[in-house]
Formats: sequence, C-alpha cells, structure tokens
Amino acid sequence: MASLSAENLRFRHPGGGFQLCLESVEACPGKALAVLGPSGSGKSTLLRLLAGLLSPGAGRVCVDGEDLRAMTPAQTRALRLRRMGLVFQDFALLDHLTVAENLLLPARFLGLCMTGARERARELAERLEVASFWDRPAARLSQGERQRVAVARALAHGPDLVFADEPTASLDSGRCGLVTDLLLRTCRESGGVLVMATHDARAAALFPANLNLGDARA
Amino acid sequence: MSAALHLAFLHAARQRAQTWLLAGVLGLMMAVPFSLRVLLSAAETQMRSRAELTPQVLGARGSALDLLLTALYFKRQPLPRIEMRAVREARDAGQGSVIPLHARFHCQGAPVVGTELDYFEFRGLRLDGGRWFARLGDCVVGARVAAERGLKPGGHVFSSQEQVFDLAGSHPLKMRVTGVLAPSGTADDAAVFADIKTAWLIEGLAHGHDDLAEEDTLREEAGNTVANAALRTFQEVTDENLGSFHFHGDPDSFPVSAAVVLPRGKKAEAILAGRYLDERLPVQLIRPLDEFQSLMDTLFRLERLVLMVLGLVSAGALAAAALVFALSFRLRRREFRTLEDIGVPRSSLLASRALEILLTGALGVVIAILLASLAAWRAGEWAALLLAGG
Repeated sequence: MASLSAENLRFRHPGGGFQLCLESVEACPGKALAVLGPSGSGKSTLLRLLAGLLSPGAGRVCVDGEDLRAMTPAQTRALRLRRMGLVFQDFALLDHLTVAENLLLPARFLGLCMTGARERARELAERLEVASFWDRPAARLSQGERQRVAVARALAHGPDLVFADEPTASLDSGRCGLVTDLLLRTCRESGGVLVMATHDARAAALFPANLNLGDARA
Repeated sequence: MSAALHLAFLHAARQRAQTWLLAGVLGLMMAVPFSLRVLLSAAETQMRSRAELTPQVLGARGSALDLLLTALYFKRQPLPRIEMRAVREARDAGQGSVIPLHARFHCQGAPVVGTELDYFEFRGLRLDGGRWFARLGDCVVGARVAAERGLKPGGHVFSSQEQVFDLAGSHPLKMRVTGVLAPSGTADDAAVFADIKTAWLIEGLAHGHDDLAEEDTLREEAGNTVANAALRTFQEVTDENLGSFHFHGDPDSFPVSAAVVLPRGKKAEAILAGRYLDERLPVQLIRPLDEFQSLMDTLFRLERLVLMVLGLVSAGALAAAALVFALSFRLRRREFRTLEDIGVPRSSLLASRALEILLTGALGVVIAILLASLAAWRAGEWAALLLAGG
C-alpha cells in the first residue's frame, strides 16, 4: 500500500528554457495515473521528479506523506530500490546480462530470497512473453522484447510505486494492451500506485485518472 | 556485498577477452621477475658445477671468457686456435692429463666436438646405446641431438660445410653414429662427439681417395705430375676405404680449440699455472671457476639492470591497465547510472567496480603462480637449453 502526492512543483532544466509547473498530483493506494502530453511536454521529467531522480526547484513530492526533500540521497536510493519500479524510456537494461539476470537485479541488491524472486520474475516473463529469452543477453533482444523485459524488471521485486515512461512505445497494439493490463492489474492487486507516461490515448483511456501536461509546461 | 560480487563476476565472465588480457598482463608482470631469478639461479648452479668439474683449461691467449665458453660449452669463438704441439708440451710436463677439444664445425646446428675417449670418462658420460667411436668417421651423439634428429646407433650425420663456395675448404663428412649418450643435463647433450682426427678430417687436413697408382690417375704433363680430374675423394669413411685416408702435414701443427687439463693434484695445478703465467706466450691456462665467478658478477649486474627495466615496464603496464579500467568504467557510465536510478547504493556500485579490479588481479595472481611454477619446474631444463645454445 502506498500513496503519492506532489504539490506546487516547479522544475527548470539547468541551462534550458524548459520549465515544468504543476499545482498538485495525488495518487492514493491502488490508483493508476496516466500522464499525457505531446513530446517535450515534461512527462519523463515529471516521472523522474516523482521518483526522486530529480529534485524540484520548488514544491514537494511525498511518498506516504514523507517529503522526499527531507531524505538524504542514500535514503531516497533505498526507497527507490525497495519500493519503486522504474520503466525507463530507453529501457536501460544491462546489455551484458541475460534477461534473467536483468530481472533479478533489484531483488539481488535488496537481498531477497532468490528462489522466490526467480519464481516471480519467471512468472512475469511468461506473462510478458519474454520467458523464451530467459538466458539470452539483453543486447541480443529486439526493441519490443527489451521494452517488455524492462517492464518485467520494474515489477519483479514487487514494488508498490511504479513509474513507467512510455512502456508501450515500441510494442504492437496487442502487446501494448498486454503490458498496460499487467501494469494496471499489478497496481490494483498490490494496492500500489502506478504513474505511466504515454502518448497512446487508447491506453490512457484504461486509466481511472489522466493528467495532461499540455498545460503544465510554461 | 554478494550482489556487488555477483555483478562484478558476471561482467568479468562476459567480457572474457578484456579480463584475460588484463589478467595476463598482470600475471606476466608478477611472474617474469621471479622466473628470471629462478632461471638465472638454475643456470648459475649448472655453470658452477661444470666449472668446478673442470680444473684448468688451456687455450689461445686472449679473452678468458671466450676460452671458457669454448671449452665448456663448445661455443665457436673468435679466438685463434692453438696447435696440437701445445697439448703435447702440456702432456710432456707430466703434471696430469690433457684432453684436446676441437669445436669449429657443426652438424645441423649441433657442435661437432673432436676430442679423445678420455673426455667421456672425465665428464662421467655414459652411453645409452651403441658403443664409443672406434675409428675415423665415427661419432657419438648427445642425448638431445639424438632425440631431436631421431638418431640411433648405425645412423649417419653430415657435418655442415663452412662455406658453400669454398671448394678448396672443408667438405661435409658423412659420419657414422656408433653410440648415443645418456642425458646429462649439460651442454654435452647438445653436441656430436668424434675423435679429434675426424675433426681434422672435416677440416681438410686429411683425406681419402682412389688409389693414385691405378690406371691413368697420374700423368706427366710438361714435366709436372698432374692428377686426373676424375679422381674420386671420399666423403665418408667406410671399412673398405679407411686405408686410403691419410694426413698431410705435421700433426703437431694441427689446430685445437682448447684443451681440458686435469692436474694430478694441487701441486701439479700450481706448477702448470705457473708455466703459463708469461703473457708473451701464445697460450694461456685458465681456472674456469675463477672466470665463472667474474661472469656471474657481470650476469648479476645485468640481472639488476633487467629487473630495473622490468620494473619500469611493469609500472607502465600497470598504468595502462589502470587506464583500461578507467576507460571501461567511463564507457559503462550509462550502466552505472541505471543502477543508481534503480536505487543500488553507491557503496555497492563502488564495491562492484573494486571487485571487478580485484577479480582481474586475482586471476592475474593465479596466472603468475602458474607461470612461476612452470618456470621453477622447468628451470633446470631451460637453463641447460640456454647454456647449450638451444
């Protein structure tokens, strides 16, 4: 169970003209939020702010009511590793590791029981149709396969806050639905929070709440 | 820590070429100085033992080291040779035995040593098969020569011609192998031994040919006695043509590379040494152990120099290895950024990088231990090869 909130967020990229302004975002346990907006509208930036990967110039982000700014960098990292699942826009897989090794990476650093973690990772891989590549190095996967592995890695250690940055961008419509369904169901079942950035209006329609960033960019 | 170790191990295992290359360089850096020391030590032991067993050496005046290498290791040196007369005079002094050595020619790279049968007794050499040489054209081969060329008693070897276009010079002689020496782990393993008269035969001081008295072999032309160009000279000594071989010139003037002198005792040794102190004499008598000591002093100075150079090269290689790691980590910045973004603690990331270096270093140590063990195990054999010029 997790809750996430952000208030009066202001962020400006150093040296750039881009500025993100957001009055408030709130997600209670089990809630999924789709973040929409054209390219360059700040979807990825918002996700990184919410995940604590970027610090806002003003405003605050709270996880379970705890302000991320009050945490030390080590505490933020520990929070991300323990409770967050991140799907990066460029997948960010470790190319020399196999699919299995990539999926088990967070669990290994968390010191979880590897037998259980392996079972869960295997189940996710099967649901996302990448189990047949279990022992294949990530470098030898197609874009679509890499994207699904990235989604599986974000969910493999059972996080209750999932930030997915365009997790269906490289997928066909069938698998797009598969990934969106899996993310939403996991969020619902775990009572966690899902924030997903997407261009896909059909995928966004499946979410109970949408946030359009077209207006948030200054 | 276990996750960092796992990640480091996976990276090292997946980047095999880079890991092995770096570990190999590190291993060599550690193993070479040790191996060099072991090899030098083995060479020193072998050289000292051979020098200790050779009380005195007679040879042309000049570099004592050259004479030492000729008499003990059959190296062809630029030293002038002495005449057999000097050997006879040393014998006539009645202070001990004198064994002549003729080491000018080669047989497929192995020195052909002309000597006398006493040499084998003096060196304690035994036959592994066959018998000692008994007549002109016979030879006994060292163990390594026999093994490398597949020689057995009853086989043949040819002496190498010194110069292809020197028709009037020495000619190859087909020698009969009568015996093979048992391995001794010394320079004797890499030599072909024949009677000194056989060495002089190769040198062209003796020859065998058809009977000149037969038919038209000789004829008178304008007051000169001329031999027929069809006169057949023998390139092999056989039981049939042995009688036709004969020497030309005074045997006292025949060349000898060096001679091993075995004095009867300490007094005889001193008397003999005194006989050759006069620097105006064309011959000198050296004590190999003294020359060996001066050679070793030079070698140890050289070793220190080589180790110093190796130290500099190692420092360079270490810097290059550090650069490779630094560049590799820089190239993998995105990978580390991903791990940071996922939330992997910075200490784990640093540990993972350190462990990668440690794993490569550990592999380097294993390689170094293996190389050093190999060097220690085979040092004696390699030193013998080195000393025999193999």
